[in-house]
Amino acid sequence: MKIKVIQIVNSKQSSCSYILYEDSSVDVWLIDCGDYNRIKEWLAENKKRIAGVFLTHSHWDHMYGLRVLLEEEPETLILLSSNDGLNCLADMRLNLTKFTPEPYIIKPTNCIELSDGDRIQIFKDADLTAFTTAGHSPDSITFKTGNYIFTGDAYIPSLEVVTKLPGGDKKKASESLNRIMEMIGVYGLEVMPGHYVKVINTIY
Amino acid sequence: MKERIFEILSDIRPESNFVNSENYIKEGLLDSLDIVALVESLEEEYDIDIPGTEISQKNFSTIEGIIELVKKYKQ
Repeated sequence: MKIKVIQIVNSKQSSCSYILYEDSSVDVWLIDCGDYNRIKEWLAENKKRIAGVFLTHSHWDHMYGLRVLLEEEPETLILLSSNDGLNCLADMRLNLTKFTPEPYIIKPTNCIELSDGDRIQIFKDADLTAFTTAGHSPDSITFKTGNYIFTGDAYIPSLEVVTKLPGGDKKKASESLNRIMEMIGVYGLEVMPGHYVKVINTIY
Repeated sequence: MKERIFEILSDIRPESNFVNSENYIKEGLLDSLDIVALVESLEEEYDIDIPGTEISQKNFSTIEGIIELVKKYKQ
């Protein structure tokens, strides 16, 4: 069964959330969580439920939907980088909400910290591999499943990686970018970046 | 303070000419990511805490606006 991907271009910062699903499974997985209401509508229309949320990094524009999601479903599984992922979520400076009118932190109760090379079975016949790709933020992590690579902000085609934000590291970003580009080249992967570049299968 | 803030601005966007600009935001010298970096630098340089509610175009469009903001929190 082939994994299908829905790209949602969020209302804030044109960040992207993704829904990974298979027709035969009621469970879906999210990559990042922005406009949760739109995700929720899609879930209702398609009679699906969230199995877990993979976070490419903890910047607010990639996780602001988690606030509502975790209020409604506190036990939702959150999967994030073992490189400071939980600390970044719980730090208003590192999650960048300090620089917005409404700073907040998120402390998920049910989470898995992913290390480089960790593999998670997401569907009966499909798994997802995590690659730590620090630089844009300490906890930036890239996910590969099937023919897709979800790069967050560690690689956005045609844009330079931003390293000027708190916790950014230019040298690590460059190393991570090289690694991502090598994977894309070797496996011929389709890039699913953390911000809008092209429409894949956008809803609305 | 003025000279030091110009230095900080130049560190963030070396290619931009802040001295001759009338509005950093409208003229595209600073974007939202630059402002985050600027707030970080100002907080460190002047040992202040700038709340997110102050992050507006008005406060970061000119050197005078930035100086006024720093002074407000340095007191």
